[in-house]
Amino acid sequence: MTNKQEKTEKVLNRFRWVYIGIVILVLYFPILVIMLQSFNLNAKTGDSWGGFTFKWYSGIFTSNSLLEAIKNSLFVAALTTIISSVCGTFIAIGMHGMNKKLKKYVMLLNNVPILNADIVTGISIMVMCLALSSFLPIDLLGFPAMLIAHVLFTLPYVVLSVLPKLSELDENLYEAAVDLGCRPFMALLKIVIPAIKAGILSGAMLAFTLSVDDFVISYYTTGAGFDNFSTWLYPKMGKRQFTPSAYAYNAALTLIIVLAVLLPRFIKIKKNKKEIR
Amino acid sequence: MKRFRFLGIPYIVWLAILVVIPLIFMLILAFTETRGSDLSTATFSLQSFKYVFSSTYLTAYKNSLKIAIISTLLCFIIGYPVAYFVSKLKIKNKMGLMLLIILPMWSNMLLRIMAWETLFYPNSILNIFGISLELIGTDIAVIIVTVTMYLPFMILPIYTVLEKIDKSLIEASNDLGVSPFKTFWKVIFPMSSKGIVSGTIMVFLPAATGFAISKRIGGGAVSMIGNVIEEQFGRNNNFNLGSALSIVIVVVILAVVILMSKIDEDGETLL
Repeated sequence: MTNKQEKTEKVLNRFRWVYIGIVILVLYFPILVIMLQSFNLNAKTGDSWGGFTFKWYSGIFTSNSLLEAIKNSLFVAALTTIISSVCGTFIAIGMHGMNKKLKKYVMLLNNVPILNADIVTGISIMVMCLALSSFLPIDLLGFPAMLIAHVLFTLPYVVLSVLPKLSELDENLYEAAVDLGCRPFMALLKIVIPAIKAGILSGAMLAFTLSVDDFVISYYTTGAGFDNFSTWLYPKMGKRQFTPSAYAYNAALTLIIVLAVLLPRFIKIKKNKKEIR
Repeated sequence: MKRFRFLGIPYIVWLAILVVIPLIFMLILAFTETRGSDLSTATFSLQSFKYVFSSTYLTAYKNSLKIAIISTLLCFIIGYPVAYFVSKLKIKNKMGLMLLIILPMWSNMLLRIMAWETLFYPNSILNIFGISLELIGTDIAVIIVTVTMYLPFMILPIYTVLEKIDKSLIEASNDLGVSPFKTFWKVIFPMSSKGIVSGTIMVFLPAATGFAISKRIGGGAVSMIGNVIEEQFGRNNNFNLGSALSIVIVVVILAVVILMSKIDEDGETLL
């Protein structure tokens, strides 16, 4: 490379970093505002800076309705994650074994909940639950409908994260285990599942994050006084009942998720560096 | 591992029950007149569809289309360079950088809307810097919030596709004396079209059908399709009109699903 080319490449590279930096700054801007408001004494209206306070953070534990909504959110998200990642893994294994034509057809179906607008998913489940509730002794809207809806829209993401890991898998390992006398299902648990662990984990993480903050689908499937964080928050936005503890909870949760995602990567890089030395 | 293919069968049943049957209920409601959601009072009627094409609702559809198209275009114009530049960077931890771009989506959407909302009133914490905005109720404000909300959905699929492009094709183009600019337009850009389509769909659909942004940032002045649907199922308790209005969205989505199955069979750009 000539000197001139190197120079332009350097300038270009700097420009790339600046551009990416500006976009990242804009994306994080609302999160910075949330964090700022979570320490703002005037956060109730949020229209001015009234001084620094921790009271919204302690308020998380004294506001009963908020605490209830947070518990519901975490409970639904945890159950959704367990159900979706277990079922999604076995579904992906099943799809992996299908012939091409059938697999393509199931793939098309699998994409439907992803591409479907949240509002349509929510309303259609609500309409079905309302229609069924006239035959059933229990009211489905509320926890049961919300859980079903959350599993419905997170399952496809788990399937999509596990499938590529399955096609990378060396099937001879599984065959070898079976030839050596391992029962097929045991071979699945002992050989296949560990090999596709990364895909299952990223699918589970996606399921949790999508579920815990979901609004539109939850909004239409709630009922019987069962609220998750978003459906609890929505009617209070811009009203007097709004408590800035919501900012505090969200700032804390975001921080936990960020650490949970970034720390393992960071530690891994450090380890790699040490090994290189 | 072919013997495990039976594990996929219950999934087909599950999707049929939870996607198809609810849609059938919605269709029934759209083509009948009922009291609330009570199907036993149903009588056939096309009344709801007459309403759908009345000016109030057509305006809402038009508004949604306008805001969603502009937002999607802006997401593409801002997002494509981000995806392209990240794919061009010579650093090891590109995936970490991409994670950094996706992370904001893991903060609650409603609170992020609220954060913008507090800034768009004349009295806001921006006053500290001597800035005072008056944007609530304008299309511009709705578009700004929509773009920042869904931008990562555009960047991610385009980046995924760009990373998969065979680098030797670009080298070949360079070696044959094609200018870098032309290489981009003739080689890289066409090969990233799959990601562009995925990103467009992932931004356009929520932008057009959401109702929280237009309700809070629009301040009642910007009525989108999601808002009028919410009104029917909430305050107006008109399940027939609400279903009819949603059916229009379903038709659009069906077209999108078929399009997606043509261009991206493995769904690799949807994650």
